[in-house]
Amino acid sequence: MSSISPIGKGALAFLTIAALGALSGFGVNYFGPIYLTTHKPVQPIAYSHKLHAGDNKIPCQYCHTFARRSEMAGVPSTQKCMNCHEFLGANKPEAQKLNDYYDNDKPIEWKRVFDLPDHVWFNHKRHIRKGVKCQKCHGPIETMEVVYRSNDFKMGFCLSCHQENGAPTDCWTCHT
Amino acid sequence: MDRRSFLKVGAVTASSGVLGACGQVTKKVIPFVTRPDDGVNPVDGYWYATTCAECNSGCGVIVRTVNGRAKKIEGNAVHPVNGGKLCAKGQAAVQRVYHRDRLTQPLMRKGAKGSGKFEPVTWEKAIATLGEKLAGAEGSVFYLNSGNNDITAGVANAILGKMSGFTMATNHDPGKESQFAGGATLNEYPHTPYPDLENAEFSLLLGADIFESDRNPVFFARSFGASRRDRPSIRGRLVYCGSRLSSTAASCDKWFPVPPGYLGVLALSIAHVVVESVISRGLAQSIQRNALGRWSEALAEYAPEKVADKVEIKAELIRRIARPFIDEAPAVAIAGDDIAGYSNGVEGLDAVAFLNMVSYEIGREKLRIKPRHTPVSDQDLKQRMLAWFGLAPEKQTFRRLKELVDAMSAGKYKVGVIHHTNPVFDTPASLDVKTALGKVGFVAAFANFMDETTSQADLVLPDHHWLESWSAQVPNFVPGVPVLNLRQPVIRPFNDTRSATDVLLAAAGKAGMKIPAKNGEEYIRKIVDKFRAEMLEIDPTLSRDAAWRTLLSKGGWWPSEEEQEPSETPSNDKLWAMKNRLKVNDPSFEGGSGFPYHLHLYQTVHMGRGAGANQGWLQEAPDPITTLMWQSWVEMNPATASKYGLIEGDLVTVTSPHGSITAPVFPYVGIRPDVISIPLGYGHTEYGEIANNRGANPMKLIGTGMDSQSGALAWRSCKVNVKKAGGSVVMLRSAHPEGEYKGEIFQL
Ligand code: SF4
Repeated sequence: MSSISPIGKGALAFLTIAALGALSGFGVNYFGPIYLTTHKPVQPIAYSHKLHAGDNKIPCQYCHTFARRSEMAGVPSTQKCMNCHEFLGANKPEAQKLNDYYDNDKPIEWKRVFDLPDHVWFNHKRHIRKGVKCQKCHGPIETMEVVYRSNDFKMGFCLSCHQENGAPTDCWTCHT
Repeated sequence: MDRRSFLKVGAVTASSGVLGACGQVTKKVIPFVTRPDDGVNPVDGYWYATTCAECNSGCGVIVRTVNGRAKKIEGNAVHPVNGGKLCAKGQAAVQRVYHRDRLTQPLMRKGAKGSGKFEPVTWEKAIATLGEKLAGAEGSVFYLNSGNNDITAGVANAILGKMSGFTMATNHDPGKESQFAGGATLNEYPHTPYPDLENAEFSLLLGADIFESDRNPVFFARSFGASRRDRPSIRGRLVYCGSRLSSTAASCDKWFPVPPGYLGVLALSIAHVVVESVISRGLAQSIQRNALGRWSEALAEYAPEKVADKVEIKAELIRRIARPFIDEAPAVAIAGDDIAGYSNGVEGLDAVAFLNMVSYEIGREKLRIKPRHTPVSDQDLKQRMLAWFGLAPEKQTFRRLKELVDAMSAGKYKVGVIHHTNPVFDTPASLDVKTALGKVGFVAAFANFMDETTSQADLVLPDHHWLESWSAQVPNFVPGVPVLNLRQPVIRPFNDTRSATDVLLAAAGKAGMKIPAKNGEEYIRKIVDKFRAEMLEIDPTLSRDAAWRTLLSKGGWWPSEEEQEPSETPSNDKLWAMKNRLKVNDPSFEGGSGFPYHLHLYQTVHMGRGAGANQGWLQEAPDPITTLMWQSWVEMNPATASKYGLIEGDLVTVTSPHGSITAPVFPYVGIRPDVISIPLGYGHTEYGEIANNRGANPMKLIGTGMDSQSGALAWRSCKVNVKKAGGSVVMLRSAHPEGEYKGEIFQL
């Protein structure tokens, strides 16, 4: 490589760095999950699914009422929490926070745990009506103190289940 | 690769890995505190009725809201103004709610006056400050708005109108203001005659760009569609006269490029032909015969043969244009900006009104015409409703604005309140509103965005978007019937903003002034209570609340179709009184021999006066005629352009006696060779990243000359010169324009 001058070497090194850097960045962004499976954000209220859905056996759809009715499962209004918390847990600090939100007419800004890219058209209603269990995708929610993302929701995950159950696998089933 | 390079590569790779991971923005899920309705489905969403406020036309809209967010705006199908249709600005309004440049909290001036430096303050402080200033400014307060007669103007008038020396004025609104002026001289009612395009078989548009800017583009586009489609054996014919082939003109069957300022003369010439036929054929017995003699005398000098050279249309063609007004009723002449924008504007508007009235008398005789005149009783109701909105027409002229600005400059005002309008940008630069504002003791501006005017204020009060607030409005121009539009909050406020009406009321209340209502909602309910007995469509057995909900769900109140039938025919007394006014003087122009071209400014359907310039959706929508986007341009006839060796994209400097601007040339065959045309709305400097430094603001070119009778700005009466500036730019566009307009041009 004697024909390359010191300046040339510098330039080559820079290009290599730039190219590798760009490639790896691209790789992580493109092939990587939108959220890592460990995605476990700290929520404004330390709400425990284990306590509500596990220990007290409140059905999922008591709160997520829209799962059977629409594309989105929906997060309950604060008012719905107050159905019970008007009377329960007033002495607990987290329930107190809830009360404050409600009294001040301020919505709770939950952090989103489960999400799909915009080019996927997922519909809760269809899956619920078919009898797919919530846990099939969301994992053992009723055991989670803090909800985390238990699956990476890549296309293979959807497809394997669709194939097992004879559900359509045409592209436009999900990518409409 | 040596060790150092390897380390560098490693570092970059690792950091991009981190960057990749950082790409996981954590989104939020924000549920309602209280579920709004039983059965609200977060995905299907709900539609709420309200009224568009992007311009002053007052189209009814319905808004789809999903999870408390406004997703889509559509026209309200039952609304008498727009009947389910909307213009681009209305469609794009939702982008303004979630716009990144929105003002989110009250701001108090920090630096020197006019420096545009602010610091955030609490609402309590802002309201207290405004109250204090208003209370201490007896005799020297002004309120300036865009001409939108909404309840904020009504409330301002109710509170401040009691002070001596209070001035209420509106910003210059090209076209509309002159229409007002024309209406005032003609009608006794301050509202323009309502041209019934829908039922006409022949429509003569005299410089009326009714599908893009004039009075209400949606209403007229809809009427145009109906005139072409809805009648099995009749296809409405339209002829356009004016100096530029606008997109309205391009929709017509013929275009006559009449020289600027001579459309009024043309109207009288057509009237001459009509009156002569009435005399010779004994038509229209309802017209007093001695009146006819006087008209004939007054119109003698407008015989087609005598004016053919002035209007550049052959005499026999003028006679042909006149024929439908005699034979083929219903015919209607519609006057617009290219009549009104000159020093002889009102004379031209009078001429057109005269033509319509005579033609109507002929048709009435034959029972072949049924114009939708507004019953006098309805006009009265409309006037009484308008009283709640504070904006009498005489407050809406340019003369009034100029007097206000002059008084500001003289240091007469201690406090000024500006409501959603940007006069620093959209009035002639020669008026110099900016300097004048600097001489006002304290300026409070209600706005959604920082702009050239808001940045001059001492206190900036971020208003709710109209989708977030209560308001009401009586549309000024169409339809003829009285309409009370209601605006309700269809979403919760997205930022820490407050309704201008509520802030004004709170401030005045704090300062111990007498206020007409506690808040905007209560003010509107008072209006509804007041007029409920006259709103015959509301079931009288309904409770107050039930009636209110019915109105809200419909978007407002207007008379039912049957009721719109005229109960009384308008008296034609006005017609007899018009003989003295059958005269159109030659227009006078600013700029001497060094300025050979007429300057023709116009509003595009997307930009309007410039408020739309900070919206990407409107910037990227191609202009219907040129297909250009994201920039302004200077239209020149190809013959004129080639005289200066200019081709598309070449920069050209346009100079008038008042200033000069530089912008790229767009050669356009649909414009007279002696006319240069520039769209309004571009060239912002303080209106956010999307709007700033995009194109040039042609308001720098025009002066403050007025039509002396009406006080309207003669905004088309300026002449300019052009010079090649050197250099050129790439013109952004959606398609090649040749295919877009070529087929539409008729050469005569
Ligand atoms: S014309 Fe357009 S901007 Fe004006 S009120 Fe109607 S929809 Fe809104």
